[in-house]
Amino acid sequence: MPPKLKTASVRKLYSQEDVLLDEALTLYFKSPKTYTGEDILELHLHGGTAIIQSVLNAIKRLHNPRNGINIRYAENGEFSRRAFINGRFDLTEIEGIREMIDAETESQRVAALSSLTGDTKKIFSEWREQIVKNVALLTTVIDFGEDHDIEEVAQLFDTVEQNMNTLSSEINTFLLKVLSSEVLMKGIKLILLGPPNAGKSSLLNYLANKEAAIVSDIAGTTRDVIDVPLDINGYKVIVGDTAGIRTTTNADKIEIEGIKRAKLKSLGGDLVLVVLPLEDNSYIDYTDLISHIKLLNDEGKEIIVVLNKQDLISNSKHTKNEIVESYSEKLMLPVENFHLVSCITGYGISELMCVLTDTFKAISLTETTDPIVISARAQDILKNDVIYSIEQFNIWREQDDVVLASESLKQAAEGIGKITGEAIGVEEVLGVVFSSFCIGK
Amino acid sequence: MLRFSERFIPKISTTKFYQQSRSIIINADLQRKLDESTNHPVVVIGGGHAGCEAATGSARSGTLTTLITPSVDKIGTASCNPSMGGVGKGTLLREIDALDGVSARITDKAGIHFKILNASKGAAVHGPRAQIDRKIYLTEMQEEILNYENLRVLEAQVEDIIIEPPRDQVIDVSGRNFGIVRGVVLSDGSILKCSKVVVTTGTFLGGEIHIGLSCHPAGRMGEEATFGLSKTFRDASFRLGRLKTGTPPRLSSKTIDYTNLAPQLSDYPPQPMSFMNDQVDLQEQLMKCHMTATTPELHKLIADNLDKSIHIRETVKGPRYCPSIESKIIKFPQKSTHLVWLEPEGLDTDLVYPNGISCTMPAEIQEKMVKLMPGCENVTMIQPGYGVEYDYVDPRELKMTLETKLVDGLYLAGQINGTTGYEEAAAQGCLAGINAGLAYANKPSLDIHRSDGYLGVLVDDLITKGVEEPYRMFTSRSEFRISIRSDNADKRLTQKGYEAGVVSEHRYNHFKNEMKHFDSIKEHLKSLSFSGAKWAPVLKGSTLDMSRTTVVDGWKLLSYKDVTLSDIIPHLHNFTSNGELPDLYNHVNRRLMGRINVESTYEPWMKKEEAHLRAYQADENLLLPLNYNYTNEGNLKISYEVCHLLNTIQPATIGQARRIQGVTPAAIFELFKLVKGNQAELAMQREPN
Repeated sequence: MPPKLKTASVRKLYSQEDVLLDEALTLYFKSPKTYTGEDILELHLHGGTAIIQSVLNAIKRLHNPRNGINIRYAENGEFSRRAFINGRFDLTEIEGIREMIDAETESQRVAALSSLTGDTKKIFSEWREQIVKNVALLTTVIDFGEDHDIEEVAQLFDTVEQNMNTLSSEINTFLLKVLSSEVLMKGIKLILLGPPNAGKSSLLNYLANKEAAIVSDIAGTTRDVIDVPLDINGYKVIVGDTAGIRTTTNADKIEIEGIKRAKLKSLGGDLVLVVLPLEDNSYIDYTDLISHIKLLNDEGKEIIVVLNKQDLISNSKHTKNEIVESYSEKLMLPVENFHLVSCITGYGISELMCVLTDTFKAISLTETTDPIVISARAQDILKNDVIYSIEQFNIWREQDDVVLASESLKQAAEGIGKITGEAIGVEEVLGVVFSSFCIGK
Repeated sequence: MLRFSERFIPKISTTKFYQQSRSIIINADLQRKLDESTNHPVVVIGGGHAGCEAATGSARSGTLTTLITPSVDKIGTASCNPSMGGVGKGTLLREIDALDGVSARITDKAGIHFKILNASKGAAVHGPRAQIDRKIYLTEMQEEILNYENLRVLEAQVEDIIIEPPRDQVIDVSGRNFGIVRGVVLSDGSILKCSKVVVTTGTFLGGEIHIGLSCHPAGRMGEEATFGLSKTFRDASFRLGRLKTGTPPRLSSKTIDYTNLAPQLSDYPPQPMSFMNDQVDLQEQLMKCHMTATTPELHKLIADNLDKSIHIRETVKGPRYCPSIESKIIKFPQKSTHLVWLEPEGLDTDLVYPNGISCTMPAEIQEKMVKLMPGCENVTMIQPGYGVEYDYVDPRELKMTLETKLVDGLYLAGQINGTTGYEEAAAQGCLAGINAGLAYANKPSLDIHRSDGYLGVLVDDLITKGVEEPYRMFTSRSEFRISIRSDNADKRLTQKGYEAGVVSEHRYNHFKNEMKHFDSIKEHLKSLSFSGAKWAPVLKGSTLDMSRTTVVDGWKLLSYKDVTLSDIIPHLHNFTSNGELPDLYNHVNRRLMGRINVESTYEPWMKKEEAHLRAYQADENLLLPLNYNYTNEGNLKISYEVCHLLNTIQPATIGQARRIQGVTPAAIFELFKLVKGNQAELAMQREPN
């Protein structure tokens, strides 16, 4: 029985020899309303290499070029290319798909989707329209400005200048958003920093829900930096677990190197989580750590301080506030940056998670806007072709050279065309000219 | 019903496709007649702007040429406005001149008002334009044509072209027969043997004149249209379409009160159109134009009578940039007035051409209309305006030599290819004629690319994109606007033309001398390197761009805003060892002066454009197969729509394919894969058998 159209249906798959291969979920889409614009059949097999292999082999044996049945593996990116060839997507959308294939978590998927469903595409096509319109205005000045009854000719150049400057700042804002979205795609770099045996690795394990880092109660267990990619509330986070930082004269070479790397690593992070143990730690010299935290703070790094081992002070007469205030003073960081947790009892962990999620949002700017993902190529073009050309336009505008100013705008137009895949043709520009102005005698 | 509020042009052109019906069999009788006829190597049909250039261009190639026209005394007629050149168009005229064509030189003889349009906007878009004395232009052109070496004129009407099927490849990918030109049939039945024909019939091909609700066949007012050839093209299965254009009424100058009308003066002294002239003939008899305008009353009169013109009701396409007054009023109802220029048609004629009110209304309404313009309250209308509708051949049927792909030896130029304007017609005529002559002599063709000039842009646009409305040249059509200018047309084309054998020694030497002079001045200026302090007197006190310690050479100095050669020359003696102005600078004519200023100004920008040019040329060098059937059934991963476009247009190179609207980058990549391995083979395919 053939699979139903656009319906998930369970079907038994047999080989040519009538051997049952698998009972699979099938999805059938008919052209042209499919991803590629061609007929598509999806087989959702049970896992296991053996099953997958046997089904693939059976499909391969259907290959019969003499009867016009050509079966082969898709080339890299062929589905997207076919979609493109069949007019299903323009270049922005294709790039969105590529990012989606790479996307690992929910937020990334949302970001990739916004490009796929055309939010970015819409922005680009608006910019494109803006540029076409302004090229048309300058074309009017050059090709029809003389000898025709266009009173506005003199003002047109000014109008174009205003329009282009608005556009330029719009694009710059957009690029800023892209940068923060990029943090999101690549993963937010969260660095665990603290003295030895503060429970950095325990916290990491807690976050990861698995034994990612080696944990022991011997100080200095983490001697190198360990990167663990995690999904925290939908955010891709790369947690860097580092060696404990202490001022010491008796550390071995390996520990010294570990401390050096920990400091370096924290400077490259998007967010630094300082873990301090709430226990008697008078035997540890904090001087080095405190000066490093100051450095991080001066560098403008986001810093959250986790006061771990809350379980150890549960019966203490110290109140939470007093503890926090004393640490706040010591590290010269505001009290709201401090959070009490216990990796053993789980105290404060969920609050910490909320704080982390909020911080991730802030870092990736997703609080107010959805993440925007465009390829590195598109970013380069926006910067080097579009923004640069607008700057050039301004230079010629200042010199009142309408021709070279117009040439600069044409380069901006070509840049946008490279991104959207739609070149800006003369006919399109002239179309705008003739519909906006009464040209000719 | 045509709705002008929309884009005024339906997407699908009216191009009709005629199924194969012609099967010329050269029977014994016809063969005998052909054998008896003396050979006419190249025949040019038509004596308008395209025809004159085609005939002289072919003749310059050394091939004996025959211009056939129904009336010799109409050769060189300017049927619409009495002016030559303009923005973009002026550059085309200069390019014709650079190829030793005739129009620019005749313009310098007949011009009575000269103006460099866009003079304030940078040399790249300067548009030399001249109002001409219609009668002098015609007389001078006839004088030229009738005395041109290798050129004969025959007064006759061509009825048909004899096309013989070729021996080997018989049909193209659309299933149409190929053919070879063998001769032409005249209206008296006589036959001329020839192997190349250039058709330049303008609006005469199936021409129809519209005034008000009446409509009658004609090519120009009072002249018969051509129907025989129209049938020839249909029978040969060319894709044909209809286009329309129009012309304004003519007024009597002495009935116009110019008192309150703003005059427009000619430039003085005028810059000649031709590179060969330093001065125009009628420099001391220049005339003024005057400005008037349409009025709300005039608009109302037209609006109330729109139902009285069949021309505007038709679905046939007219140009958007040269609209009739009717369509201006329909499309821009918010405007209460449009500018009208009153242009004298000559030195000793009473005729005035009111530029801006092309009209197809009934004569009595036009008569009322013209009186509603300031200064024209008592004007006498001498001839009403009218509309013309005519056949054109889809120019995508052409190669870049303007020879048809379907019929060997058949060349088309001018309005028959869907263009409008004297300059566009003349430029095509020049190229088609030259190539017809060269082809007859078995010499390599003269290929003009987009990077060579507006002529290249014009031809490439036509053969790649076809036309949806009459095509006119604008500077915005060129991607190489900075390097392709009116001032350097000779630098771009004269050498090329000389090598092809169509530029005379006289012109070539003139050109070489000027270039030599240019180079030595440039070299000398480059050798003068001084600090800002020393250049200070030249800078006229403006040190805006230059500090006192910056060292630049004299050539670089010219690229600074507002510094020209004439600012430098008076100070040059201070910079030479003997304290004298080098002889080099003693006889710098105005044109050379201009060249030096322009070239030095654009030099920094040229580097950018050169990179662009190289990329363009790389694409142009990648050949595609000729007469190839593009299909996505094989390995070619190209959509059906793109295959259809490629099959219709049959682009000759990857570059040309890239410029086709609708051909995707992915498709270009597929084409690249298709041809990257067999370029040598494809080059062989182009060798003449």
